[in-house]
Amino acid sequence: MTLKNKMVLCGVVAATSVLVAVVTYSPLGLLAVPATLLLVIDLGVPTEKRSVADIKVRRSLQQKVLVDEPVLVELSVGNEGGGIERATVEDMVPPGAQVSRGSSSLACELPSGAQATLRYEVRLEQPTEVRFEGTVVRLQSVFGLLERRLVMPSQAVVRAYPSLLSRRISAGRARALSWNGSSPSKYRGGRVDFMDIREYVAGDPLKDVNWKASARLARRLVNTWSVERGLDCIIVVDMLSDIVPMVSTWSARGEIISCTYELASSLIGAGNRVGMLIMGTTPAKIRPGFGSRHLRVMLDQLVVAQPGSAWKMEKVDEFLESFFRAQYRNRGGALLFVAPGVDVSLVRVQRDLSAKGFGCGTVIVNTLEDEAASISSGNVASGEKSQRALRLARAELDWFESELSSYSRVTEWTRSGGFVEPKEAPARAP
Amino acid sequence: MFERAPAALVFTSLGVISLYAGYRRRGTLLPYASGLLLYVPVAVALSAIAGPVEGSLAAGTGMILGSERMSFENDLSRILEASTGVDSESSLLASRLSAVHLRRLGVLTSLVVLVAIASLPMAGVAFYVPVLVSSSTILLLIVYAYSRGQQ
Repeated sequence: MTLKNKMVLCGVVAATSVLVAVVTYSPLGLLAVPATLLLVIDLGVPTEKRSVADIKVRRSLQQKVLVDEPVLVELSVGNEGGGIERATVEDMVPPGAQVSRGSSSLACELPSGAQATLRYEVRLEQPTEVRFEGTVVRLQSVFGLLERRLVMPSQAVVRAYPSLLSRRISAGRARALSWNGSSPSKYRGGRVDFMDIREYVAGDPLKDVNWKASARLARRLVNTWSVERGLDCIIVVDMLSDIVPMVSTWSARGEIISCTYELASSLIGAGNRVGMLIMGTTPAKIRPGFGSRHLRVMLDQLVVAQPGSAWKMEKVDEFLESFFRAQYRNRGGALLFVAPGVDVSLVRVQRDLSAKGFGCGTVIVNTLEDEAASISSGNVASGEKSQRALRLARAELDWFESELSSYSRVTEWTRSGGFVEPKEAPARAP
Repeated sequence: MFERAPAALVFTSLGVISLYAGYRRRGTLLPYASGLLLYVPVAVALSAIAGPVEGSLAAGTGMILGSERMSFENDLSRILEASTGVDSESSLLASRLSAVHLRRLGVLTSLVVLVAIASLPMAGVAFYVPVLVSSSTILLLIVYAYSRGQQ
């Protein structure tokens, strides 16, 4: 019921009371006196014209934040027109943002030229982009019998980025995980480990001359180095809505993004060329590149990616053919799949891609613990059932990993533990 | 005037229930419904003490004032309701608005008293007081509506 109904109610009460008084001569009809006066007082002095309000709404907030970081929303409502006796400001909090402190509504008096500021804090629990669209301002009379509702535009966009954990995969660890490429890295300068000393030949760079050894043996000698091999890789993110685990309001989307970000950051930090392909609602295609700026581009794409079913994993091969073709012909690259759960189509895709000569790796985002916790907290199932489901899911994941291990190196990722060493692939029947 | 006690009991019970429902649901209309239901038993009770006209007028004024204030408080608490606390400026602005509302209710009470006093001499001349007072206020409303329509 809106406040307009309140005016109707007061009018009906006043009229009925008058009727009672006139028809029955009963003093009960005297209710008409305060009821009518309430209407008269609230609707205003009849000889004065009600002034027109001119409302301006301005929003200020931080546009780039980390997940779970408090975001202060400040909404200033100014009145440049006539005075307003009672104003109610209700900010429309976008889905995905949780009010963590304060209220998103405000009630105040707004005289001419005055300004009121609404402050509250929101938190974004997942890496995402949320849009504040507008604010509802209700201009009322003091008793609320008159009301005018305005929707004022006050747009703002907030992006929540995953916080990068301090752990990183070192170059050595990346090799241990077999994420080591075959192409000479342009980024790292091309040499890492000292290999040997050999005779100088014309054209060798002067910086490689081993002066001490040359002086000792009276002939010109140069050091030889092993060439750094950079990894040319494309991270393929499986964001299919059928695969991404969801329980009530919890979803594994945030963890997929965190995992992918950590993976991309580690690979780029180790001097590799990294590209990205996100499958889901809208496919995001980022060509391989170096550096932190490139990492930011990938992160921006990750933050806005949503689970969907439009682009399935079967399309990966097609994308690689059409979008990354030249890249792969010339340099030979690896594919690192990020899978949030058991996706049988991924086994077929990896089998086909392995047959075409791609080196595949898979990072399985293990969210079983979080999923079980959200099942328990949401009272979706009892503790015993939840534990049984957890064991079944674990067995299913083990089976999936063993299936994938025929075609790729499998690594598991958890939020608390990071990347876990790959298990030995079980021997498969020929 | 209102001699059937069970009927009064029903009215009072319904009034109290709707008052409680209004408080729980932060409703703006339920306090009014409660005021209407409680008006008749309260008016009858006050009539026995202070006379029929004075009792009814006092009960009506009290019910309107109480209903409006509770409706306002419910609306305000619904707006500011937040388990995570409210910004101190929001609380200050709300308390200022609350003071304005209280002042306006004071004006309403004064006007009711003025209307009642003004009608007393005329009531002795010809009319029964309720009819005169009710008719004069509705006349005021008609004049008001007419003047607004002219703008």
